[in-house]
Amino acid sequence: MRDGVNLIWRRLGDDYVVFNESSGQTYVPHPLSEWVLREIEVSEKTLGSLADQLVQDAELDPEVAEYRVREVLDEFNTMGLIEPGHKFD
Amino acid sequence: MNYPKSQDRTKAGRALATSQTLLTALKTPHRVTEFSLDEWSLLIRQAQRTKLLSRIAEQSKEHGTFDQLPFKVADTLQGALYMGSNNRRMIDWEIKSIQRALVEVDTPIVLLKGGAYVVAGLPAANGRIANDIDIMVPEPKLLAVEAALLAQGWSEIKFSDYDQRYYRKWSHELPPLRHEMRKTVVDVHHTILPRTSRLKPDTDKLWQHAVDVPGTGVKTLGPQDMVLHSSAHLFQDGEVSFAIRDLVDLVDLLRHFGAEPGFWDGLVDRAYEHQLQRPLYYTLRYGQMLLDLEVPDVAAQAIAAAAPAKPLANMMDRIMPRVLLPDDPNMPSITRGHAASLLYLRSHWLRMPPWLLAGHLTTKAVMQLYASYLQWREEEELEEEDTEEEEAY
Amino acid sequence: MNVGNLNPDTFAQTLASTGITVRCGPFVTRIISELPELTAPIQLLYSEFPIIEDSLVDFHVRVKAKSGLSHRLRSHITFTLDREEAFFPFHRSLALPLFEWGMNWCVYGNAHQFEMIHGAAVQRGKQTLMMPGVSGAGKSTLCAALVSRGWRLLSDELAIWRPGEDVILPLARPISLKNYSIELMKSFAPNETFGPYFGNTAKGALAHMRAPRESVRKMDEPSAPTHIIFPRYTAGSGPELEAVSKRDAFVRLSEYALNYPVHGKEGFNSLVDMIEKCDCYDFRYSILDDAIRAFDELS
Repeated sequence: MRDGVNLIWRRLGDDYVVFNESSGQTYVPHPLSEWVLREIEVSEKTLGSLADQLVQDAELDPEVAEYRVREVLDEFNTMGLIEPGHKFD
Repeated sequence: MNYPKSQDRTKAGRALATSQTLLTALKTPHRVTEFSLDEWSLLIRQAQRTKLLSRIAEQSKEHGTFDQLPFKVADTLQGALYMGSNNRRMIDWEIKSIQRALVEVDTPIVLLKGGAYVVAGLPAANGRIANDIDIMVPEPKLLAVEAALLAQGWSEIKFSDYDQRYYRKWSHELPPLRHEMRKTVVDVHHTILPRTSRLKPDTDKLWQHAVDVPGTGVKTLGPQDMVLHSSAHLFQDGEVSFAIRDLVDLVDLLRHFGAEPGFWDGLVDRAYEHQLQRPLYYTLRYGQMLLDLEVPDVAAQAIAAAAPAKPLANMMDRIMPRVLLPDDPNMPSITRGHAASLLYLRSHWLRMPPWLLAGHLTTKAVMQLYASYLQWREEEELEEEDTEEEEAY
Repeated sequence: MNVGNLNPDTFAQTLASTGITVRCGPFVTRIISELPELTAPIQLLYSEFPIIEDSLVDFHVRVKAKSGLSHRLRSHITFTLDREEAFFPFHRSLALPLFEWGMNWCVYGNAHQFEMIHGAAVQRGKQTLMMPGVSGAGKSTLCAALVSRGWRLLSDELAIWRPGEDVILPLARPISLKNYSIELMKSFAPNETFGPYFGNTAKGALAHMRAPRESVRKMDEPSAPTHIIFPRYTAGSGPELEAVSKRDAFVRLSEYALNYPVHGKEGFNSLVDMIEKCDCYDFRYSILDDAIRAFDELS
């Protein structure tokens, strides 16, 4: 996660909506993005470690896990939520 | 300065009568509690016209007058407060995004104008609404910077081919770039005045004095250069009509930096180094005249030599305040419109060197310009006569 | 003194000279116009609104003939807010539509002390319904129908509230009806007052229905929404209320938000708070009586 990004999480029903106070952008994440976002908000994570965790917790195929996580990180990159470097870990 | 103050009051003073409330609010913010509803009505409309409402709203909060205001006034100012803080957030984020996009390009980045005020946390940033971000990079890095921005979500705004060529060849900028998602615009410069301008500020010296802003990875111009650039932008390069806000920013900068030792001492010399002494002269003169800027004697004496010849100085003293300031929204002034056109033409004149202009202006046009000025003088005198009659009543 | 109380000639003269200042909910607008096409319709559709003296005016508005090209014929008109032109010049036969669109534009372009969405809001008893939508999806027709059957009109076009508060502030301005809705409403609610008919605007035929007197009288009584309903006229459809998740309601509601990012964190929280307190539905209908009944049964 980038320095200075400040997220506000609100629960609506069973889902969450997220507001980035620094950019004024609002985000309605799907379950996987929500999970990734929470993980990287807490501490720095690499693509690999996130994928590994998914494989463990969700019993996903490793290739699929990596693909999906990369997709999510790409999206976060476009939105300016993460440092560019994260993509390549 | 060259002219006694009492003379100023007579000529420019009456024309400024309709802006008194606005100027009072700007000069002495604590006095807004004295305003009647009518005065507030005028003030709000004029402040909206000159993009100063957010600033007045923020000043009201700062000075603790906000809670004493009539309800509707406070409500209107509240809207302006939201706009101001939203704009500020947008600019902060935009600066970070630009910097992030250029991280691979290994170039120093200088933020200009409003972006500089925001990133350096200057008082001039408070309640200021800006639309574009202006940055300066070394000329050799221009294309690499452009390429990086284009690769990361910015694209060229569609101008005609002619305008594109004008920008690249004659102006000092790449064409402005707009971010596809955020719709924000960045102007990339390599110097601070158009390449074609008669005046040639010393770009190397600008870089020498540029200042790192701690914790951001970007720079701003040195304090004196910042003042000179903003002066040049207002009185040389840009749109003067209703631009009182730019003068307000300049006075903010001068007061803020003026507290630092050495700032005033070298300012006028620095202006001459960059050939920007005339715009500085106007900044100090109208800053004093309209916003009570305090200019130390040494600087005042030094800048006096940069004043234009008397006839022109006279004309500027009559025109400039009226054009900078808004008129009465209930009775828009025709002569103000003429005065504004004259200054607009002037800025074009200043932007282009003589040999380029020769292709544009014929003798006929010059004569029309002069006739326009004479007509304006005549009409203004008629208006003043009318006002005198009313006041006599 | 209400707009309707003035003698029509006095009204016209004042409108053309110093202007008439009206208050619609929180907004005070001073209107100046010499156009005879505008005088009678404004006096009709705004008859219940109070004329204001001694208040700060939010919007100084002029509707006048454009000098210049059609100078002699003066066939085109403009709506200006403090000399800033809204839209492009209209033909003067569309003076009232221009005026109404201009009045909306003043609010959504400037009133940023409020959060605003495109949508209607009505209230009856304990129910306050917010119906997001732009013109054309059936929101205005439904709104007009409800209002003619005892619901109070808060607004047809703009639902507004202050960030941090949960109540919608009424404007009670005229409801705009398009195309088939015009005839439909005239037969559904023959006792309501309708403005003149405009056959050929860019968006089809247009007419306005005046807000009932009660709605205007209560324009200072805001109300917290209890339901968010996305209406859609669907030919042949029986009345169907289908629950929408709050998260989906949030996404769809923000599509109709006019100034959403301006209020930052406060605006975000305000919007979420509002949705949390509401039941959210899609509503499909084709027959107005069905719709009225369905809404009667809302709890």
